[in-house]
Amino acid sequence: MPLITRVYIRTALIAMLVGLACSAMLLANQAFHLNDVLWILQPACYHLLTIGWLTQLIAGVAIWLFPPHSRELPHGDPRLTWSAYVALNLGLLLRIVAEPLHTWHPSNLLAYILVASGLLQMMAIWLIVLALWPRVRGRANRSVES
Amino acid sequence: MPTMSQFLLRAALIWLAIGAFLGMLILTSKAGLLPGQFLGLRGIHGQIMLLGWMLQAAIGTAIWIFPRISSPQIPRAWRVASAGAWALNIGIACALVAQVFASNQIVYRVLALLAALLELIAGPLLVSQIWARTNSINTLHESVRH
Repeated sequence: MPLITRVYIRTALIAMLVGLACSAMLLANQAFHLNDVLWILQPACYHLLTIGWLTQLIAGVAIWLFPPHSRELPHGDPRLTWSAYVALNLGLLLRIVAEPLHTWHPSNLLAYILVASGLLQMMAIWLIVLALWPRVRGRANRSVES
Repeated sequence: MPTMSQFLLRAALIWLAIGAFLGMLILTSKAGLLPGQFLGLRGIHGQIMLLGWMLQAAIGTAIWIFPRISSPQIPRAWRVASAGAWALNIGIACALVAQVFASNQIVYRVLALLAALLELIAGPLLVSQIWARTNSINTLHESVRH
């Protein structure tokens, strides 16, 4: 398993744990009415589980297992995949901090951080799509041969 | 990678890119830097990410990786699954276009209904391709012998 995949999957596992904890807290809040303010965490929780866990896991495994890009770069251009990793997780981190805070106490700074997080996540996903697209192929058509 | 998997995975990547773009618009709207109407895209954003991206990526990978069976019915099964793949993607596209016509109730309802029906029939058609392949190797050998 290449390093890039190990990093993607381990980060996805951490996101899953945090997302699960958040989800458990929201469930407890629903059952025991702990504090209404806690509901501001719901969007962040969903995106931790869908983007941080599921999408990152799928991307990591796809980078590993999809047909090789080329002999020199079997797992594709590392600049694309590493950039995507940094952008995705930075965007997610900014989101889980800024989104609940902005919902609770809106401010211009938090608004701009939220926009930045959205742009980072979108950019990360477009980079992942760019990295994986040429590797979605059958045996007959090879994209790059050395 | 079989052609069906290529189709599903490429479609999944396209929906992932579109879904990420919509997500960025929603987050920017939430930050107050875009009109509030963009918040109405949350439903279609969820549909695209769950059905267009995750479901299709999972099914596409399953069709690629699951044990293969030899059967004279395989060509028909491929056609059935292909119909399912097209139904799913056209359904999601109809749901997306419906958002554009959200102000026109008649067009919106027709497109939304069409989307729902197409997505509903897509499920069994796609599952029919992989259900038989989720068997133990002994069962697969038995089916080939008979």
